[in-house]
Amino acid sequence: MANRKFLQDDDSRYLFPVYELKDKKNRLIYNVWGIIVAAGAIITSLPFLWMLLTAILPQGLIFAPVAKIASDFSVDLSSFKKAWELAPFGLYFFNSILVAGSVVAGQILISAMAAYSLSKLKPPMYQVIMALLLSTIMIPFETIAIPLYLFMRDFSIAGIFKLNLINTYWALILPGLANAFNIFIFKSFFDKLPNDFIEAARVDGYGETEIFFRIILPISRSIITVIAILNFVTIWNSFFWPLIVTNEPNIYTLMLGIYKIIEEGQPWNIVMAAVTISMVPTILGFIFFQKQIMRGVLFTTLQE
Amino acid sequence: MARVVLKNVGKKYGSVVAVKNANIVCEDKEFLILVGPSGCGKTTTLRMIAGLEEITSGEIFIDDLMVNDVPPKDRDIAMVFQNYALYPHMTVYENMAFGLKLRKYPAAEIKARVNEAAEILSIEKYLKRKPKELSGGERQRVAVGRAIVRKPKVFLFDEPLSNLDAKLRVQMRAELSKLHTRLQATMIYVTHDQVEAMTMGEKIVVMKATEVQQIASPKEMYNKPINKFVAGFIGSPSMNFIEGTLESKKGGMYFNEENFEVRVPDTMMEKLKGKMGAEVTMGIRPEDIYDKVYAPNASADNTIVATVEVVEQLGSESNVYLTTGKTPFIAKMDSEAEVEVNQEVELVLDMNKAHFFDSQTESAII
Repeated sequence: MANRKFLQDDDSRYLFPVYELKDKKNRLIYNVWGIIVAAGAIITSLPFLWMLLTAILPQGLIFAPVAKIASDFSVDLSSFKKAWELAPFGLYFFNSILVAGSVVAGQILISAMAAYSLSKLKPPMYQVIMALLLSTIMIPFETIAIPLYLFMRDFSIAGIFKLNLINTYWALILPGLANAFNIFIFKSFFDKLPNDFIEAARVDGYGETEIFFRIILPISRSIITVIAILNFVTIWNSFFWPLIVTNEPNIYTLMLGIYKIIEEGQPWNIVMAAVTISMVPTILGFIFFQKQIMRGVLFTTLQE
Repeated sequence: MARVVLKNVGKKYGSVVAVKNANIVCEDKEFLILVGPSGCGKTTTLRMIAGLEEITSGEIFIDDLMVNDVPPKDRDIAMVFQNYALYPHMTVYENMAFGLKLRKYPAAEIKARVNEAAEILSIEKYLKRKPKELSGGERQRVAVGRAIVRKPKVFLFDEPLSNLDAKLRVQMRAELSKLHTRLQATMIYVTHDQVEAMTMGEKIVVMKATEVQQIASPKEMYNKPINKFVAGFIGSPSMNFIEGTLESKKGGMYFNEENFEVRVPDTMMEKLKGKMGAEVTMGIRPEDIYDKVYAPNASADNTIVATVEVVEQLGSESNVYLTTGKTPFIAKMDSEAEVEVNQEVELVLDMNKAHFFDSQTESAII
């Protein structure tokens, strides 16, 4: 195996042994797979390209036939300026960043701690606990939306402090903090971590909390990056829950802001310009952290 | 430094016994080796000393203090793990200083201790590197360095050389021995490699299937194994075991294997006379079998004829696999000895170095 030459991607992962490509049948399979992957990429990016095209076209060309768009094509970036002026996008950005940032930070802390406990400390009945956590993934959010709304409306701490969290940031943040899927991902990662790290730290004199914060979290950077990016995008794009628990424009997130623009009957090039603006942070995130995301998804950080 | 005492220490995982009634004493400044095949309980024993495993029964003392319920951090021990367990996000310096920082040592002292340990282990130039930038041997040095800086009462090593290649292992073996001499520390070392045990240990504990078999110095372990298992485990190639009976004739005692017979030295007769006529196992090490041409004391009473099956040339010597027709055995011969496969050779057994074991209990008779 060691002497075999492989086609490799940028991250040095073996895809296809070169010698197999000498075979005509294998070459055909390889090319067919290439075409399927390319087609998948094009189909996936079509809505995105459509959005960009709509945002930069003059209003009169948006619903014009393709031939007319091709012949009269011109770029009109004024829709971005109009969209930005139409609604307090600065505030929406702030709200979205605050909510998504808080949820992601809380999720990572809670999920990683829970997963560490389930993976390494193994409390009594940890397998039952894990099964219960995983079973919550099967429940669609729509079925718990109303109870959750009531829970936020009549929120109480130990039955003493009763608070109505509707129309507050808390209603947007708190329900997202616990995430069974993240716990599952973290646990899978921690299961592969050698116990030697933890035991060495115990012998060195560290307690479980210090081990978690000073050893486990730092060496889990890649998986944390993946979870952070994926969840940030999910929270950033979430629409249904913010729509239910907020009707106060001051705490609208970007998605609600865009919805408001659509409701106002603004032209589609302005709506699409607003959507494009809203996507900038997540696209930048992907561009900057692409390598970490790929490495984290493949769980390969500890392979040397 | 400290003395470590295990009194009737046992460990069970549910109904599975991992260690049974271990009684071991590691004296102050002693280099004690726990050796045995996989699953014998040696690593579990070490982990119990470290406090990483709870003890099911018995008592462990470090310097007269019973540590059964003392957490690892308060036992004043340092442990070197098989997979090094270096924190990948820290530099070598940070890895070595990690334990000292927690104990709130002044920065100047931490620096001095890390530099001193780095100098001892010749890793000064790697202090700013991350573990992934080091080779296996360098990582192992760092792992040892992390233990040294703490200046603990007891050093524990869990098969620290098993991930290194053969050449590096030999080199590190010598370095660890030198380190022990230099630090004059109490060290407990786990390995499955009897060569490591013999070359490094001042005292060896051989374990088999959860039980301690024998505790002795390397020389005693080699010369006076307590049973057939220890005799076969210590030494490379392993001791040859030949089944046969003891017979009295020609005014002496003879060991008869069907295809050959050899005279038992008179000095051994007293201890063996109770086994006259009974099945016994004779043990003879490959290095105590000589080509008749080079043997100084060859006689009809200690010479046998065997057929060569395989010759393994090792350069300075060769391992010759032979058979008497009934029993296969190995002889370690000078590489100059001219033996060929299928050749019948005359061999001389140094019977003064032979061992005899009870065929039923496998305990050593002599």
